[in-house]
Amino acid sequence: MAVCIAVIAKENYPLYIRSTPTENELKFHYMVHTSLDVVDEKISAMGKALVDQRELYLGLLYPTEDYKVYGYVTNSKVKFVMVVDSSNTALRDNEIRSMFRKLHNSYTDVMCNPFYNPGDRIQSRWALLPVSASSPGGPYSRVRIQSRWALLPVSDPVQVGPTSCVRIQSRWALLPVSDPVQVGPTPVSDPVQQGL
Amino acid sequence: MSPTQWDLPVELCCRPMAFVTLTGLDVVYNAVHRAVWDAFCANRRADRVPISFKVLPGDHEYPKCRPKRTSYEWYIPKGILKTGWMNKHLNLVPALVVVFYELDWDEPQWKEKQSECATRVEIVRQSLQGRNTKVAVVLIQKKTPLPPGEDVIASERAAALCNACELSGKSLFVLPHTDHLVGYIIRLENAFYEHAQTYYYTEIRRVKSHKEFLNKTTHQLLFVRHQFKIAFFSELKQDTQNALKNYRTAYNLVHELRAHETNILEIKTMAGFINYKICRLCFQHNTPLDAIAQFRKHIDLCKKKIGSAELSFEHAAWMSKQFQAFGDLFDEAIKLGLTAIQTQNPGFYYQQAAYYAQERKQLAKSLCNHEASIMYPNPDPLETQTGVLDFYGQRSWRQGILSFDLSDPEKEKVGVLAIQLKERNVAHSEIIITLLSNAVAQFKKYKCPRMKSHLMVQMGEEYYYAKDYTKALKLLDYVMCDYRSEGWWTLLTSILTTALKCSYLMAQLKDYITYSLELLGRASTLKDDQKSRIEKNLINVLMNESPDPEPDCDIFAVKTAQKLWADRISLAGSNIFTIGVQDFVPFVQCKAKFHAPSFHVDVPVEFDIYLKADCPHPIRFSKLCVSFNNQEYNQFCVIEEASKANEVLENPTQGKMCLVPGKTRKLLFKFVAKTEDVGKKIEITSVDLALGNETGRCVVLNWQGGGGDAASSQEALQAARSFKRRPKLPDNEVHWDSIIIQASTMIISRVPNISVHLRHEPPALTNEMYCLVVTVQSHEKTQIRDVKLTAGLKPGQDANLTQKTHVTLHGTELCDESYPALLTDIPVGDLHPGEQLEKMLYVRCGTVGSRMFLVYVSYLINITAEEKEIVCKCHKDETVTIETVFPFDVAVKFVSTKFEHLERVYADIPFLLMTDLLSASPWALTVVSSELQLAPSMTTVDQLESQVDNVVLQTGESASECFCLRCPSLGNVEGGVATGHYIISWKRTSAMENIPVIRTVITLPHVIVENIPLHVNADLPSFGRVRESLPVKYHLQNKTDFVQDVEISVEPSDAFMFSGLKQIRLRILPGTEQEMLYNFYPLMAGYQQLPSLNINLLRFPNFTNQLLRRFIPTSIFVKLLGRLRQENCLNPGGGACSEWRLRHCTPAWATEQDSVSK
Repeated sequence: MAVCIAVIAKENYPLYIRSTPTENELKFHYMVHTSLDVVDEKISAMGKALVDQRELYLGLLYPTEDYKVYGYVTNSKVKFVMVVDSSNTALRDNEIRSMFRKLHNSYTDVMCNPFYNPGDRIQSRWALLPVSASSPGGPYSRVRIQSRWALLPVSDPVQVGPTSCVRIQSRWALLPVSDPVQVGPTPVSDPVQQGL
Repeated sequence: MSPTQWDLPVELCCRPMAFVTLTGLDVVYNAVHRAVWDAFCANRRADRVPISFKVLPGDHEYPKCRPKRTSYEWYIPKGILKTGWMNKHLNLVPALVVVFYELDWDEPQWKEKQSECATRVEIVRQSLQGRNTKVAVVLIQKKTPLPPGEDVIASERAAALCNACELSGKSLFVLPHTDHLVGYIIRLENAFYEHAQTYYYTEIRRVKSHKEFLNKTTHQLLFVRHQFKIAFFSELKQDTQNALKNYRTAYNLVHELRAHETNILEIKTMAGFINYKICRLCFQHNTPLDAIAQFRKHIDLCKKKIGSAELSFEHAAWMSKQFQAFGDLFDEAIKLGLTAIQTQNPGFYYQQAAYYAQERKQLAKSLCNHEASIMYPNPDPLETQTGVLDFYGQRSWRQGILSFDLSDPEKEKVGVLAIQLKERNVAHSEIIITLLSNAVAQFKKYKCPRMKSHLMVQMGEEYYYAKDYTKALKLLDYVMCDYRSEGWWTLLTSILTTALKCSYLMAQLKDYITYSLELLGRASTLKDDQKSRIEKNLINVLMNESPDPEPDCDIFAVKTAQKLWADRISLAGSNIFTIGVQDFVPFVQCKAKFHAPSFHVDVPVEFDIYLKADCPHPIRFSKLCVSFNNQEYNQFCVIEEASKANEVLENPTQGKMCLVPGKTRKLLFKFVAKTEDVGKKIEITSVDLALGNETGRCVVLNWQGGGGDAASSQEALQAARSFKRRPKLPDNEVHWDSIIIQASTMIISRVPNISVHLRHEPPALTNEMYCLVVTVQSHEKTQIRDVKLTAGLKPGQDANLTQKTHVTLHGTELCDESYPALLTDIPVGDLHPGEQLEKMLYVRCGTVGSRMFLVYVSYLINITAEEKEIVCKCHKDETVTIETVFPFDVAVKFVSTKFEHLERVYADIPFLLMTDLLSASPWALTVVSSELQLAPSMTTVDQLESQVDNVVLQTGESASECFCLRCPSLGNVEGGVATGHYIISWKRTSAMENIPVIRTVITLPHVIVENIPLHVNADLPSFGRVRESLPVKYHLQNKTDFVQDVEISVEPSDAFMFSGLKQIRLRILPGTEQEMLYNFYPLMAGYQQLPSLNINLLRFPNFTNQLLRRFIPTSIFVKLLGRLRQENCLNPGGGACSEWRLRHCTPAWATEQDSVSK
């Protein structure tokens, strides 16, 4: 269960950041921000590797006493950072990977929205995060199904209406990533349907 | 308890070394002993054996050995490890006592000395009673010993001495005090080291032997203690592998102990010690991953063992210390060559240590908030009789009590109170800051700039709590720009809020204003109520009043701050602050935009300044001024408040000077550019906006260039990317994002109102004076003055062109090299409206190719702009590309007198030079004259008169001339013989009389001259008549110096009968001529072949008939008899002439022919 999820722009400013314990939001902001040091270092090390062999998932960035910070970077250099409680041993690499993949899909959906201007901060009425740990069915997967719209900017509800038809047409045109598996119109079949 | 109670004891942290004492050395008064001691102490590098030496008197009392326990059955240990134990074995109980004694083998009083030595050994033995400590004797000798076995006395006496001292032979050493002292000492050391190792080995055996007596119920503590001791002795023995193994066992045993609130501190202390030892040894063995794993395990095991809730800050302090100690170990290992990485470096441990220190501070704050009336308990429960604790990690008021029940709750309470009160005096912030700065140093090293910034923020906040606001502000200010440049606004806002508090508490005006400006700005994520509070404060400050205190500040600090603010207000003086905004994000945004990228000098320059405020309430500004790179314009671009106090009250939301939040305010400025600035760039260097007024306080926001602050470039990029449709706004308002800063404009000259025409007849011909007529007409409404013309080759072309192009105003003389390629600033005078003037230019182009010519006309005119009289300089330029071509082509050829083409000419035999002049000019050319200048080697046969004088050639027409020349024999000349020059004087037919004639000189080609042995020429009439005698005379000339035999035969022809020698062989003398006369009698009319003359030279077999035939005619025209008899009489001796006609040769005077064709 992630306690904090962040989407960071190419230029390293936050596009979207949300943490579950809202009372100490600042701590997570700092944590995400400091983790960019490691992300930067990993990206620069990766630059030497071949482009098509590049792994988007960066793995554990750094451990702290209480939390683990994981990173993921898209081909367009947008970074995803996820903070996970250290005590949660159920989350292994595979689960983290699939969570990132879902996050990537959601992000792709946001980018597909013709009313979203790439680079703007993402405003979402919906939390991307599991709200409570009690629902093991994965609030994540629930959110993902609804997340077509969940991450859309909701400032103007009137705008959301007509997008559905526009969105389908613009689906491929607006995609920033090259990997067709990740952005395909059908969600990737998920081997681990349960708990995130 | 000292504040350093959490520090690890020194004896734990040092590297254990075997302890050896040296007795019998008088290091103060005896120089020899001193030298020996120095050799032991000095230069103890890593290659020497690890022993710590100490000099003690011979009768030194060593710690007493407790009587050996025979049974452990009734023994109950009071604690895990005594505080003095490690020190005792490191510094008090030696592994080996060495007795130094001065004794030579040939000592005369041997007996006495021997017994004295034995006594000394005995005394040492006495004081070491019960210990296994080894004793050794070193004899300091003055003489160098003989090799072993040779000195009989020595071996005898040594045996005797050993016997007397009850020593084994291995423990007796001899130290000759000679040159090689250090070498002997090192050998001695190694021997001592062996003894010491044996001692520690027996010690380990001894401790191990206790084990079997222990039982698990009452002696749990002893298991740990013994294991620890074994490990420690192993370390002393330098057996680190076994030491590590035993420490690991000890560590596991510690955690098997029954933990309770009363002994948890002791367990944690011991666990911490053992963990420290393990990690240290792991790093020493170069297995850092083992060390890290052990440390993680240790932390995981101990994290939850908080112990008494009232003293939970102690747990935090202990945890902090664990991390710090590990960080230190890690750092030390790195200094010794270990490489750390970004994600695994000591910084993380220091950071965690700081985190626990912060927690300790929090806990201490909540647990130790006793009222001031509570006194420190008396007698002090933390005092012990000896001043130190007996066992590590025990409470001083109940030492050695192992029971889990508190026998005396009252005493316990007092003890806890004492600890809490002590904790209150701890300078927590200092500890935290030290740890944080350690961490900062590490992260800096391992490329973690953001982590470093984060830690610096924490340091800053800690300084703030510690009330050291200056340092806090310095740190926060330093990192702010990192967060700002990366656009982490939430974090920036939180830092700014703290910084604002600091600056308020110190009454730092400028900082306070700066932070307020930014917190009100769009980068701040504060709520509106916060923003309006800050804005109110800011307005207060601008009115020279105190602001309200910031929330959540220390009450006492606020009181001091209020006093400081009161002082600030009363102080007059520098109340104007200029704040550059390019480094932060203020709440007023500014954009400057020129209306056009360039302005003509005769129209006013216009630009807009757009202002927008992001604060919650409207704000007035008092002055806006714009600065330019040319400061003379600054005075025109100032808006200032008419400083009337009542106006402020009247209508604050109206008027120009008030910025309404969210609305874009546009201010138009206008000024007339100076004529000197034509061609220059006018740039807005800064925009200054003054808030407040001079009577109160004035803050000048200074935008560099055309506005824009730390965040605006990113915003501009986003706005450019966006394809969102912006909502429609009322007419005179604009969308802020759509304004693009344009901070510079060009001043360009006034548009000229004249026309410049060029008239000429392209293309130009090489070397001619090409005429270019420039017509300038004024269309201005007023008179124009100072008209100047610049004309010629446009600069910036090929340099060769400049040298081969010459321009002049005077066409009557040919210009030479001295004339320039560009004539500049030819004064032309004034022009009235509508007036026109013409100017002729002559250009001489020396080479072919295209050239760009520039005609540039400049003038002055008086103009009124914005009620200002200015003199404008206008100019107009025209360029024209002119092609230069050759006027004509000259072809020269050599032909024989029979007009046959000649590859080479023959010496002394006349030939013809034909020139052919083909006009390539599109315009008619007049050939004024031509001249042939012969080289000295050539001679002419007839006069060299020009045959083409005053011939006019149209395009494509040609003029030919023909000269008959002869070349005397010169022998064989390599490359031929020069012929001479052909000079043509010409001009355009259309050119005026006074235009000079151009002479074009053509160098004629060389000819190859060859000698010929025999020359034949024929004399015959121009034509013959049928059946009428035709006399032909052949002349044969011998051109050689020999007598030549010649065979001549004439072949008969159908068309002729002939008389004369048909076949003859004759001799011709050198230089003479032989004549052969024939009489031909034509039989047929028409063009007939003459009977051919065959000549055969016997001397020159390769001299062929073919060659000779070139000189003599082969055919003749035969007329019918009768009618034309008279004509023949009219044409005497025109032999040569008729021959040409017959050959259908086109005569040179082609003009006649061409004029016909025309």
